[in-house]
Amino acid sequence: MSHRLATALLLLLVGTAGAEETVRVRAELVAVSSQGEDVDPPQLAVMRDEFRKLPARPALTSFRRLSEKRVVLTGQAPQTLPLPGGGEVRLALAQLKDDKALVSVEVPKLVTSMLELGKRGALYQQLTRNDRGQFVFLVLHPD
Amino acid sequence: MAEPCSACHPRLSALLDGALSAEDQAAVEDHLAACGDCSARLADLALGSQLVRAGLTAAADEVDWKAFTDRVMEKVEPARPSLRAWLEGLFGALLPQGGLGWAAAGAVGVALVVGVGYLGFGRSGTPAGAGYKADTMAVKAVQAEPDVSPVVLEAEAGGAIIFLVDHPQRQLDVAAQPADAGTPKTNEGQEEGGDL
Repeated sequence: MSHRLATALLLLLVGTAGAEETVRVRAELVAVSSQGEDVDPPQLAVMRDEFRKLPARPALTSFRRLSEKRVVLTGQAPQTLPLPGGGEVRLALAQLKDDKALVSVEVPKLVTSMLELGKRGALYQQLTRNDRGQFVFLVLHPD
Repeated sequence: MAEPCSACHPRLSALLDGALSAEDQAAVEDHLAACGDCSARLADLALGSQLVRAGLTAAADEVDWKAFTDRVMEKVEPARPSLRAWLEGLFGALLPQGGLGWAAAGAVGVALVVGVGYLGFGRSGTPAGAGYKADTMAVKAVQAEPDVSPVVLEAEAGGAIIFLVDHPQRQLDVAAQPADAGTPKTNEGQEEGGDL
């Protein structure tokens, strides 16, 4: 028993020490609309206040969280989040240098962005085309 | 007198202690029987020995041995368990005895330290994990399909907002001129005429 336990623990230690580089982000998918004034959950009031200052016409007034997930990104296979109505958004670690991470966000056949993670703030990226005043946004937060 | 007094004197004390061999004891006793001087010396030695013994006994009787014992016991601290004994108590229920048991106990300790550090510093609410050296979240580049224009605006609380402005007419233009289809649009400003 002791042989197996010691071996397993040593393998765990070696595996931890040799793990590939990863970064963590908190990713939200938010349905944004110019119809209604929903803010669900209330934490999305921060997003509403940011969008209220924009020159969008008509104004975007409704914010509903569709999903929230903490994702671990590596330079290997991207993490995918399904989009309502089909499609997906792919998140991957594009670069990690000098403790600065570049994360790629890709919606096939629409947009690809390169985002730098930072200690504060958030990144809001539109993921879908304008569908009669309805949008889906990705919100990336530090984690 | 079989032997001289000079040979008898050194053995008088041993005679009192009963430490002489039977042969020596017989020789000394023969000498004492015929020598008054040595007999007197033997008597003095015996008396002195008795006085010393009596004096030590009396002195010992005057000592408060209970107080002495109490003082000694007060200075005796309970033994602290060794590291080995402490670890045995900690892991004894989990691990078998022997060298590999100790190796496993050490590995458990190291794994706990590494694990706590890995989870504690990498997953805390304050971003402390890898990749967060920059002060704020930022957009470095955006590429979009030809029929949409990316618009990047700074967020007041830090970070940025990426909008996509549709250009249905451009899509038609691009279809007519495929040579422009691959031109990326990076951090462009908001263009007039587009629908958000």
